[in-house]
Amino acid sequence: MRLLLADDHGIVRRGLRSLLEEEGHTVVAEAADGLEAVRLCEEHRPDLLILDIAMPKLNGIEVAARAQKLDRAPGVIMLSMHADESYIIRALAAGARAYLLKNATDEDLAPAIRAVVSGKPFFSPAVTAVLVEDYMRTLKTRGLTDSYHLLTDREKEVLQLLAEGRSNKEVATLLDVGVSTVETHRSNLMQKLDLHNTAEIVLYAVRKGVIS
Amino acid sequence: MRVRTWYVAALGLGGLLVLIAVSMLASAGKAQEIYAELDRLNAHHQEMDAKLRRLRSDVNLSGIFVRDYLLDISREHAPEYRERLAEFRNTNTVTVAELRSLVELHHDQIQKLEASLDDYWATFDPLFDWTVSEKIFRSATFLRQEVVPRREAALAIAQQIEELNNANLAEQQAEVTRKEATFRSDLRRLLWESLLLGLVVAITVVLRLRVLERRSEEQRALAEDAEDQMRQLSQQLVAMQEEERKNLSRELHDHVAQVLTGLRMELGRIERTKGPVDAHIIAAVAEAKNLVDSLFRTVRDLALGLRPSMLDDFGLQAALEWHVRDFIARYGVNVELKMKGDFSALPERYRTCVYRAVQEALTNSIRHAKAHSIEVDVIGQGDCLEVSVSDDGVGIDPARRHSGLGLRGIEERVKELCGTVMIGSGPKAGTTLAIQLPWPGAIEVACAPVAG
Repeated sequence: MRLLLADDHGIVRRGLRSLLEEEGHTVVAEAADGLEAVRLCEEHRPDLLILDIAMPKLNGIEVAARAQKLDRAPGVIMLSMHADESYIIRALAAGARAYLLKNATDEDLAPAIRAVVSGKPFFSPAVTAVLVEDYMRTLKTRGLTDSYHLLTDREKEVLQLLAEGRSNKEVATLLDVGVSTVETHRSNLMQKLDLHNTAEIVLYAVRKGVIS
Repeated sequence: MRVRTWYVAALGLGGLLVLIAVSMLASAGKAQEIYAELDRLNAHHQEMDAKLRRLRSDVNLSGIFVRDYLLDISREHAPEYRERLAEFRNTNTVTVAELRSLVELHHDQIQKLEASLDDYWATFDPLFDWTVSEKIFRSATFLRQEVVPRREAALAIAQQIEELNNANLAEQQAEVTRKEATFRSDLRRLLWESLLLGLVVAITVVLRLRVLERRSEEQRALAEDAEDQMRQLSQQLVAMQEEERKNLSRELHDHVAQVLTGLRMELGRIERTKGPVDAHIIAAVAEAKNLVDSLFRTVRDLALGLRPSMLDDFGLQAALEWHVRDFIARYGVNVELKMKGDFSALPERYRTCVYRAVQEALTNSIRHAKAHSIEVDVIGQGDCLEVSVSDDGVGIDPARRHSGLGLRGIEERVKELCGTVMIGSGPKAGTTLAIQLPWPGAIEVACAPVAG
C-alpha cells in the first residue's frame, strides 16, 4: 500500500510514519502544506491520502477535492481535531471515506486504512457519536417519516454512487446511461429527500447506512 | 478668581429696572402736581374775576338805582330805596371781604378800594332826607359832582386790582412753566442715565456671553475629541482582543494540540512495544493516554471558545451553526437559526462582527434574560446585512445596557463597519438585538474608516 502523508506538524508526521511503517505500509511522500500535498499526489499517485484538515496554503478538504478529480482517485483518510459536523460533512463531500480524530489516530488508523481499501467508510467513535446525534436531531425536526422508500431502484443506485464521491459522468458510465439521465435522477432524488447539495447527499447516505 | 458674571448682570439689570420704575412713578407724580397747580391758578383767577365783575356791576347798578330815586318825585318810596341801597352796600361789603380773603398780595389796594367804596356809599346817606324840591334842583349837580367821581374812583381801583390779578396769573403761570421745564430736563437726564446704564449692562453681558460661549464651544470640542479617542481606543481594544483570541486559539490548535497528538502516538507506541512489560507500566501508559485525551479535548474546546476555526475555515454560516449546536447542547435551550443569503464571500471583519454579536446576544439571553427559546435571523439581501436575536426572556434592564462590556464591544464592532445596533422588546416580549450593516462594497464610500 502506497501512502501520502500530509500534516504541517513534523511531530505528527513522524508519529504517523512510524505507525504506518509498523503496519507494513509504504509512505511514498510527506507534505507539510496543502499545495505540496496536491503536487506530491500528482507526482507519486499514491493509493491512499492521509490528510490533516488544518494545513497552511490549502486545507485538507480542498486537497481531497482536488485529488478526487484525478483519473485514478486515491482513497482519503481525513485527520482532524474537530468532531463537528461542519468539518465531517465537508470532508465527506470532498471524497474522504474515513474521518479520524487526531488524538485517536494511533488506534483508529489501521482499521480505517483496512476499511477504506475495501471501499467502506470509517469514523472514530466520537465522530460516529456526532453523526448519530445529528441523525437523531434531524429525525426530530423532520419527523419520523422517511422518504427513502419513495425512491425508485435507479434513484437508490444513483444516490449510493453519488454518496461514494463519484461524479455524474462516472455514475453514467457505471450505470450505462446518459449523463443527463443521471442528472434527472439526481435532481429527483434530491427533491424527494429534501436535499440541497452533494454534502447533504453524502450525509444522508451515511445516516441511512447506504454507504457503511 | 472666577468672575461671577451673572451676579453683576443681575445687579445691573435689576438697577436698571428699579431706575425706570422709580423715574416713571416720579414723573407721573410730578406731572399731576403741575396740572393741579395750573388748575388751581385758573380757578383762583376766575373767582377773582367773578368777584370783581360783581363788584363793578353792583356799583354800576347802585348808580342807576340812585338816579331812579332822584327822578322819583314822590316821597313815600324813600324808605324802600334806602333799604335797597343798604342791601347793595351790604352785598358790596361782603364781596370786598371775599376779595380780601382771595388776594394774597396787594392788600393795600383792597384797603384803598374799601375806603373808596365806603366813601362812595356814604355819599348817598343825606340823599334820603332831601325834599322833593331839593331832589329837583340838586340831583343833577349832586350826581355829576359827588356820585360820578367817586364811582369812577372806585371802579378805577377795581380795574387796578383786576390788572394786578391778571399780572399775578401770568407770573404764576410762568412759574409753572419753569417748573415743567425743570421736570422735563430731569426726565431727559434720567432717560440718558438709564440708557447709559442699560448700555453698560448689555455690553458687559454680551461680552461675557461671548467668552462663555467660546469656552463652552472649546469644552464641547474637547469632549468630542475625548469621545473620538475613547471610541478609537475601544475599537482598538476590541480589535486587539479579537487578534489575541485568534492567535491564542491558533496557538492552542496548531501547537499544543499537535504536541498532544504526537504525545498520544508515542504513548501508543510504548503500549505496542513487544516483549515482557511490567503491568504497572501498562496501567500508567493507559492512564497517561486518558489524561492526554482529556487535555486534548480541553485544549480543543478552549480554542473553539476563543475563536471557532469554522469562522476562518468555512465562513459565517458554518461557525454560527456550530455555535448554535454547541449552545443548545450546553444550555438545553431552544435556539432556531435562520440564515438567508450567500455569506461565503463575507470579509473577515464582517464575519467576526456578526459572529461575536450573535454569541454575545445568546449569552445575554441565557445569563440575564433567563430565556428558554431564542430565534436568530441573519439575512443578507441587497446592500444590507441584517442580524436579529430575539428571546422570550425577562427583557433587558435599560440601566445595564451601556454598562455591559459585551454589548459595548458589539456596538464598537458594528460602528466600525458603519452599522447600527438596536436593543428593544421583540415579538416574543423578551429582548431583541437587531443589527444592520451595509453590505461590504458600499462601505468604503458610505463611511470613512476610523483612524488608528
